[in-house]
Amino acid sequence: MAPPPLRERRLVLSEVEGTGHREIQRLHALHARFRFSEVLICYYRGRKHRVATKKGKQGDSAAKKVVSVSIHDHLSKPLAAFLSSSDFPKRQTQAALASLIGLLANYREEGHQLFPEVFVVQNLSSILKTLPNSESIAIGSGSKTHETLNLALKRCAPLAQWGWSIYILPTEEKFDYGMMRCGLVALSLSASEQLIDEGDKAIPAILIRQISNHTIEVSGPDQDRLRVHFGGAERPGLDPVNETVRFCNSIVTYVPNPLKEQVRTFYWRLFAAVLKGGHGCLAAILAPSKNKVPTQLRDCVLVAPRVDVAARVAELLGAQGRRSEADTRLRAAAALIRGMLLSDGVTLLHSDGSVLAYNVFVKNPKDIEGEPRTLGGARRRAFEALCTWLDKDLCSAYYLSQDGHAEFRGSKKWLRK
Amino acid sequence: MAQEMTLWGASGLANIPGQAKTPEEILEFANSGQLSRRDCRQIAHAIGNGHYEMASNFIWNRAISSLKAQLGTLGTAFIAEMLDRPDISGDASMAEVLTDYDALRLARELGVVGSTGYMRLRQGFERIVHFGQVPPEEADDTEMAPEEAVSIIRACVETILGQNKIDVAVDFKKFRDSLESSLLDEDDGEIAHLVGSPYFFRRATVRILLALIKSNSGAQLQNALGNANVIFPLLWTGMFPPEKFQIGRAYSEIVADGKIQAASGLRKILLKVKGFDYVPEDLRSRSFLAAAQKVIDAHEGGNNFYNEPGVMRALAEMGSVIPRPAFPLCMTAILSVKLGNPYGYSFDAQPHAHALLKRTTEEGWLFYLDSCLRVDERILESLYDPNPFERWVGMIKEYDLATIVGEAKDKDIKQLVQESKDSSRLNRARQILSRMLRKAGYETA
Repeated sequence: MAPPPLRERRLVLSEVEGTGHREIQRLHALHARFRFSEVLICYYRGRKHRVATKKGKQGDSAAKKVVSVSIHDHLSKPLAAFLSSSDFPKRQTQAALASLIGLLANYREEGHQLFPEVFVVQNLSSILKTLPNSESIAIGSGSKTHETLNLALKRCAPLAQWGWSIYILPTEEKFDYGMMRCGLVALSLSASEQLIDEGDKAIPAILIRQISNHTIEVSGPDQDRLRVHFGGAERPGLDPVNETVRFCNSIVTYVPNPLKEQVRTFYWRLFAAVLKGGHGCLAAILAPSKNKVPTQLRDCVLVAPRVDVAARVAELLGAQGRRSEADTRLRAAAALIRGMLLSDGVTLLHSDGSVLAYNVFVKNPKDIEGEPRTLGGARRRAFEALCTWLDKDLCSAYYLSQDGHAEFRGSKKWLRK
Repeated sequence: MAQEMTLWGASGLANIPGQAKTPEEILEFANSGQLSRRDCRQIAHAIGNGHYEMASNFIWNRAISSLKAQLGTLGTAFIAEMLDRPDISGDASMAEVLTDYDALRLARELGVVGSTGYMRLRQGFERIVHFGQVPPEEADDTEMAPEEAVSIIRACVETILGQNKIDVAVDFKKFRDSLESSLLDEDDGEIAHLVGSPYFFRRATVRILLALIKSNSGAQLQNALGNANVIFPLLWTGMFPPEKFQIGRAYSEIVADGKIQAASGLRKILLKVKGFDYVPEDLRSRSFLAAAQKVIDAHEGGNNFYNEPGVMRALAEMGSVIPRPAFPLCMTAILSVKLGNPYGYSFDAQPHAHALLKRTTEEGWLFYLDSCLRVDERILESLYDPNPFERWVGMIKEYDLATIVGEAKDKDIKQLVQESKDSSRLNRARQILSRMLRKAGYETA
């Protein structure tokens, strides 16, 4: 290919790279980073898209090669390794997974970011049989191409909420797709918990979902998980999911044993949603010896009466004839707490699993001791301030930044139980 | 053989000599911790004044309350599972949810009373129920006889009120503890013993394990799951559908309650035995089970002829097709109403029972006769009596069951239906019933 004119760069997008606008946005970012031209032009399906004009320094134009970036190149090896321990047909599934990973990263419809869970399954009816109180709705089917998967997401992703997931069923010649769900009440185990987290290889399924901002996870029963990071915020050693799980474990330290599992799941689902949303969050747990909000955390909105999650869970588990009422109360609590977690400031929980306050603002260490101790934004500094009260007033603290970095710190004194 | 393989057995009866014939003489043997001297005097006084029903009811209520209180100490969840009663919630009071008949059944299953004691209590219970529902206008002509009252007093004292302390069989406790506190191996003698035991013990073991899985956490849950993982696959082939559905329903409930560890363990077992066909698809079966249980409660409770029509109609109006997981219990409920009891049947409930039985397909009948009736001790026991047996004979003709049973694999059931073509063959049918109950592990007194 002859080099393009000096002030025009061409990027030819392959069929599998994306569908125009979103992909072009990503390349726009790429353009900004590499500074290799003044005008970046992308071609997709033969159509020309003018992306941006940028004045570069003399000499920038020396780099004249066309740069083509495909996520597929980076995914093929790890996907092949992931699939090697599953019973799925390797080549076809690998292509489908690569497409879905690309499509699910920052998936938007009408400006809203969506976080659908997509299951690739081999036998839908046998899977549904293992999921109590399950149902499915067939939405469509098409040839085994990227376009079909794209259309499947377009049609299904807006529906994939309130417990519904998307299924993709690869058959000999086509992809069938639709929606599936299971469960009875808010506490019921979800499809991902049953098929993947506690799944068995005898019921093969692959789950692709966004787990945190810019991170897509591919998982299957009884096998290692594959995480694909699209952002630059990955920090080695601190897995945001692990940190969040640790915090959820710390929430239930003093919850009565028969309710622990359910309260933990309740909070894990809430925090998982926050994690996906790309919204920062700060939360802390009051020490069991404390019953009132400590002085340093008084700048807050007190929740009165406390949202007692354990009591609501117990109510639902014990409700024989009033199950729907108890279920509604638990879901209502979930909606409320989610809103609190997404508000500014710290959400303060008690070690019995109840929520005491939100919108808690703390003075940072500089204000407290006169010396700045932490670099970072307000949220980070507030987190460090919370950590100074561990062992005394707090059991644990949790920090989630907008870029998906999560951190948990707990008190050895209180969490030994 | 059944005797040899018994995993636990009942304690004996209080020793009341044969020459103790009057209420005063029998009440001498009542334990003062359970029945005070004052109560004894009042009962004897009531009998002496001809208040036979009043005295019988009083002592019966004392005995059954004591029994229910003792059973209640085992925990509501455990009792609900042992009775396969998903409608009993964790905070329910035993006195409210446990019918007298359920308490008697459970007492027999857990070895609180033996087969003779059970039979005497059961007969006493039927008398109490019968005389309790006699209309006021007939009450003067239909009185309880003094010897009937005395037999009730004797049954209550020798099985419950004469005991120092009623409790479940010691071996049962040991067995239950071992399922919870240790991991049994497939080669353990206890497991071999269980596999060779009558169905009653195998069914009880399944129910104990389900109760432990549902209510435990931590190490005890791990042990229960580990033992279920060994025991369920060994028992699965010989297990009847009601128990398989109970396991499927337990799995569904555990998943709905968000119990991750228990669900994961039970899921592995269901995969091992390929048992997901027994997991209910939706809530419909639960509603049918609840409705069927109400029919059974009405049938086994006081004033049953009056109470049966309403609940029977409710069951009949729930839908034309009974979901398979609820089918065994629904059939028990319908047949209980259809067969009635030794004193008659509820006339107004019959059209609803008939409507349901008429809708039952040949495949449904065959499923019940071949796979459920053998372990349906409620129905089998009721057929011992001439009156329900006569109505059973009528049913055989009405629904052409002799033809349908031709395809059954169970030889005892085939014989039972063959011997039920004529009500004069009651004794031969009784022999088959005894054999079936013995095989199931129930000693027939």
